[in-house]
Amino acid sequence: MTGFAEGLATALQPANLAALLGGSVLGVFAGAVPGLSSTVGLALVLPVTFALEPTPALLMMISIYMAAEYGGSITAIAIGVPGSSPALATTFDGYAMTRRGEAGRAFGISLFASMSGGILGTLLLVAALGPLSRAAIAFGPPEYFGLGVFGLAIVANLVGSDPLKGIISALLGLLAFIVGLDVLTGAPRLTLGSTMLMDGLGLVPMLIGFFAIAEALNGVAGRRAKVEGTGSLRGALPAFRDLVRLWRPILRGSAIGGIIGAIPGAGATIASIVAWNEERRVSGAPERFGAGEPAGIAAPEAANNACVGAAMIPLLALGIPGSASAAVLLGGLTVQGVAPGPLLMTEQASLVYALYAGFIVAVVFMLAVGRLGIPLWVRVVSLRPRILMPLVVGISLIGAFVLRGNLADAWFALFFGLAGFLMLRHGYPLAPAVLGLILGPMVETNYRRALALSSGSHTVFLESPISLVLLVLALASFAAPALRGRVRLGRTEG
Amino acid sequence: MSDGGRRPASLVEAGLLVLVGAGVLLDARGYPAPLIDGVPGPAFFPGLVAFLLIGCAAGLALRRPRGPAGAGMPGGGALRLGGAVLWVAGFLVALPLAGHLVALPPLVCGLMWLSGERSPGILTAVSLAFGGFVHLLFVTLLGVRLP
Repeated sequence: MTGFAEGLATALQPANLAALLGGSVLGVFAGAVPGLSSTVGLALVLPVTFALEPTPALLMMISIYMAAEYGGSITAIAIGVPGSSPALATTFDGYAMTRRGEAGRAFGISLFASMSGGILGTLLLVAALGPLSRAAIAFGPPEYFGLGVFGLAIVANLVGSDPLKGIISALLGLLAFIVGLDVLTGAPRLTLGSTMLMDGLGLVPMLIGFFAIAEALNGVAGRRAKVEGTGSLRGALPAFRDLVRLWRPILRGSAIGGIIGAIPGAGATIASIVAWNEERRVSGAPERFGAGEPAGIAAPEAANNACVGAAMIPLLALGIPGSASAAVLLGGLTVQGVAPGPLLMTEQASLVYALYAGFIVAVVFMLAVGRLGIPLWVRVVSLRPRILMPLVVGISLIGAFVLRGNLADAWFALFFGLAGFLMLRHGYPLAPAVLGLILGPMVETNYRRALALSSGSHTVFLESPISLVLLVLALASFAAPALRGRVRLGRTEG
Repeated sequence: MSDGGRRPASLVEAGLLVLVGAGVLLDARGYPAPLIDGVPGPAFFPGLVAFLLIGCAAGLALRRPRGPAGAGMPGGGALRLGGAVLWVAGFLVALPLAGHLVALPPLVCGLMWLSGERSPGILTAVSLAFGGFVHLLFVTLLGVRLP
């Protein structure tokens, strides 16, 4: 406790507070702009931190990381375009709330859930740095395969009214991930001999294309969904009844984010989608999800912010970055002469405590920046779509270019935009395709790695208890909608 | 729209999916063999996805059509849509040649016009302000090199 108090005193020094506040503003911005993300925000600010002392430099970086996870929800709720991939699940219910005139309430729920998730993730980091880091490295190829299949089973809940078209959409997403070099052998696949396709199509161009450009094309073709006004700003922070209703989804989302975030390579996108799906599963009214259910915002937003603290567990304890953003953070630590690993807590305890406290202060700044920003986000929503959507397309295409400094990504975004428009027009949901692209690499690579390690024996997936549980959960998740449908049909007929 | 009207649309979709699946299978024939016996190689997963896609296409072709397939666009919608896609493609061609300050305002102006905005004042002011905003934000503040 004394160590944490000392850390808090360090974090509250003026220079450190300024770094945390600057990081929050930058993070919210990086998260909100489609194409940018916490990773790009951290990478952009990395050269700036070289000139700073280690403590403010690292506090600025964790503040960016935390705030960017919240920032992604702003455009997801305002215009249905996830600012970054972890906000994908927030789009399902957030934009639906905006369309029925409850944008202010949706922003408030997102902010409150992000804050709660951020704090709970930090508490998990403080409490479980040692034991969870050991559990996280128990994840090998069979366990990652199980996690990927479990994630893919969520497709069953995203297919909408036409399961066949939902499955086709997921398969097209899986095909999109195959484009590029095979991770294990380096063989080019589906590249049509083009060097431009060697690096793959990428998740960000797909997100920008599907959610920003396809939406703009809908507007141009005269088919954009009507937004029913923006609602009162009195609902900018959740009402007491919302807090009472949402504490369970927030706790569940935070727990899911805390567990998945600590697994290196799993990441906030998977955590938030799993949290949304679990919330839908346990809600008792799954039909409300995707149509503007507040818990459908609270759970994924809590999950993706809980991932921030959790991703620090393997990073600080073992030097293993749990996500792309954590990898950039590792670069920042290294530049500042900090060597993460088992000895960090004994050799640089004061810095670790300052980081713990910094996370809490970063959450407070995120809340302040987010709350002050809500009137601005609501004004954005109220812009006429014929002005707003062209601006979204412009900034998204620039964002797609900035990510890898490659104009090909902007072309891919245009391709996905047209494909997304046509898919929506013909009744194919887009979310399963995104899920296919996200989870495809995890499923395929770890399936092949696991079989290579077991000399081709499939029992490897059943011998690992974690893998077995995840595969059973996947089967249950995949079968649940069909079983629910039969039960409902039986009741109606009875 | 009647089932009779949606049936051809379903068949076209199924045909396209079969073409994609067949193309993937054809491409996968050229991938290297597995490095270890009994362990799937680089062709396994694309082949599996292609077979599933063809199976789903068959299901799509055989079942009774449903959903919004074939729903028409409002008058001139297809023309505006084609114009918007070409306009964005033109922007991507012009960007490396002319630079973002020159290429961005026409992109935004054109898309706003195609979306229905007709006020010359708004078209000009918003487009120019957006170009300046992007430059200020990315180039001046964040130090990103844009074309």
